[in-house]
Amino acid sequence: MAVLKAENLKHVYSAGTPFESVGIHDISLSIGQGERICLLGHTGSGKSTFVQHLNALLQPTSGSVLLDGEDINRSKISRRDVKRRVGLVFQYPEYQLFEETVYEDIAFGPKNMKLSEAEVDVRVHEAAHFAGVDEGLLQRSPLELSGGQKRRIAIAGVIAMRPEILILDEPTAGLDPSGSRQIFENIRSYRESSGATVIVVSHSMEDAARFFDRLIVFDHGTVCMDGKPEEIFSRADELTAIGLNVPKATELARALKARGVLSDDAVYTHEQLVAAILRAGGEAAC
Amino acid sequence: MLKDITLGQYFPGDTPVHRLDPRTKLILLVLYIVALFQAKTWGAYLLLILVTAVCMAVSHISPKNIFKGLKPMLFVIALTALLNLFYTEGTPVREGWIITWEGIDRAVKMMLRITLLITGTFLLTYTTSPMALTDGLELLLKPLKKLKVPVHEMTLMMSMALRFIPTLIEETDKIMSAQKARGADFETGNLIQRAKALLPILVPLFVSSFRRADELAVAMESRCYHGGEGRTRMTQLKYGKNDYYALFLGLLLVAAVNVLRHYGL
Repeated sequence: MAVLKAENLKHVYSAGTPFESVGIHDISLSIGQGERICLLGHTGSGKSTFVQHLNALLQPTSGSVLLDGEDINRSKISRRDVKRRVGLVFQYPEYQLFEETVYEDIAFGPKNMKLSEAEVDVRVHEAAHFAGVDEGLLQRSPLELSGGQKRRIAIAGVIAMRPEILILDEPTAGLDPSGSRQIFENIRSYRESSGATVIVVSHSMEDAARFFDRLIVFDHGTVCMDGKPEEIFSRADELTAIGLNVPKATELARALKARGVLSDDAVYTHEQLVAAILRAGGEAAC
Repeated sequence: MLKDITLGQYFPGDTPVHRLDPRTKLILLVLYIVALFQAKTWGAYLLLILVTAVCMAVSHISPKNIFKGLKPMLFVIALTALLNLFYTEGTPVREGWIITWEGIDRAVKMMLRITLLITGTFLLTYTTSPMALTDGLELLLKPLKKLKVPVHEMTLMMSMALRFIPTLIEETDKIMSAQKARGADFETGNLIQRAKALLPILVPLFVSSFRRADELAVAMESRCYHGGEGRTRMTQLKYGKNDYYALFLGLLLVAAVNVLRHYGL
C-alpha cells in the first residue's frame, strides 16, 4: 500500500532568470508503508531537492506529491499538516538549534503542533531516548555540546513530532564511523517501535547495504535505478559510470571471484563476505 | 522568496559594458547622478531615459531584472511622488483642487529621477563583479591614504560583506526551511508573534555568522594576511580605449543636460 506517491515531479530553480536550472524532472515513485529506503546519488543529482518536495517545503514546477492519495499542495493547510506527518531532518541539522536548553529545542516541533504541556513533555523524553540524547543533557545549552550530540538533538527535534514518514538528509555526514552507526541504530529503533517509513539520503554504500531494503539511485535530477540492494549492487558497472561505487565488501568479493576464490559475488556487507569466504574455505578443505 | 533579493547581485556577461574598467563605471555613475540632479527640463529627462535605455540594451540587462530591483523601492517612489503632487504651489488643475499643474510636473519628474537613479546603480552592480567593484573603488580612493584613511581595510570589509550576502541568504533560506519542517510559522499572527517567530532563524544565523567570521579570520591569518601594506594584486586594472570614450560620453551627457537646462528645453 503506497502512502507517498510522486507523479511526474519536476522542479526548476530560478525559473525565468539567467540562473535557471532544472533540479529534478520526470520523477514518479511510490513509497509503501514501513519501507526503509535509501536515496543514493552524487552531489547535485537532485536527492535533496526531491526530499524537500515530500513535505511541501518546495512546490513542484509541475507534477504532484500524494500522501494517502491526496495532493499535499492542494491548500495552505494541507501544506502545513504534511510537515507534521512527514518529518524532514536537513543536512547538518545541528546548525538550526536555537533554544536555551536542549529540552526546549526538542520541544519546538511539538509546541508548534499546539500539544498540551504534558504531551510535549512525554514526546521530548521519548524523542530524546530514540535519538540517543542523554537525559542529563536536556537542561544544558545545545550550543556547548559536541557536533555529534547536537546532531542527535536536532534529529530528536523532528522525531518529537512523531512523523509517520521520517526523512533524513545525510544524517551521518561528518561523523565518525561509530557515531554514524549509532545514528542508524537509533533510526532503526524508532522505525521498529513506531512503524514509520524511513527515507535516508546517503553517500555510504556500506550503510545503504546494511540498513535498507530499497535503494533509489538518482542521476542528473532523475531516478535511474530503483530496487533491492542486491539488484542495485549487481549493476556495479552502471553505478561506477554515474560516479558511485559498490560496497567495499562487494568490491572485494568481485575481485576474489575474478581470481576463482569465490564462486558467488552477491555479497554486500562485511558479515556476508566473511561467511562467503568461510564457506569457500570449507569447500576447499573437503 | 529570499533568493529574489537582487542587492549586490552580478549577472556575468561579455558585453562592452561588462568589459569596461570598474573605475570607469564608478566615475560614469557619478557623472550620471550629477546629470540626473542637474536635469530640470523635459528634454534633459528624455535624453537621460534614452541613454539609460541604450546602456541597458548594450549590457543585455532586461527591464524585468531592473524592475525586480525597483520593487522594494516602489513605496518610497510613490510616497515622494504623492508629497510632491500635493505640496507644490501653483495653478490648480481645477478650481478648488490642491493638485496643481506644477505639482504634477514635479511629481512625474521626481519619480523619473529616483527610478533612473536606481536603474543606473543597478546597471553598475549587475555588470560588475563585486571583486572588480571593490578593486576599482580602492584604486579610486587611493589618494585618501595620504590622509590616513584606511582605504584598503574599508574596501576589504566591503568586498567581504558583498561576498557573504549570497551565502547568508542561502543560509537563512536553509534555516527557515529547517524550522518550517518543524512546524514553525512565519506567515501568520500579529506583529509580536511574527517577531517572535524570527528568533528560531536569527539565533542560528548569528551563531553561524560568528563561526564563519572566526574561521575566515583564521584562514586569512594562516595565509599570512596582515593588511594592505605592500600588497600586490593578481589582476591589474588597465584603462583601454573604450574607457576613455565612455568617460568622454559621460562628460558629454553632463554638458548636454546643462545646455538643455540653459535653453529651457
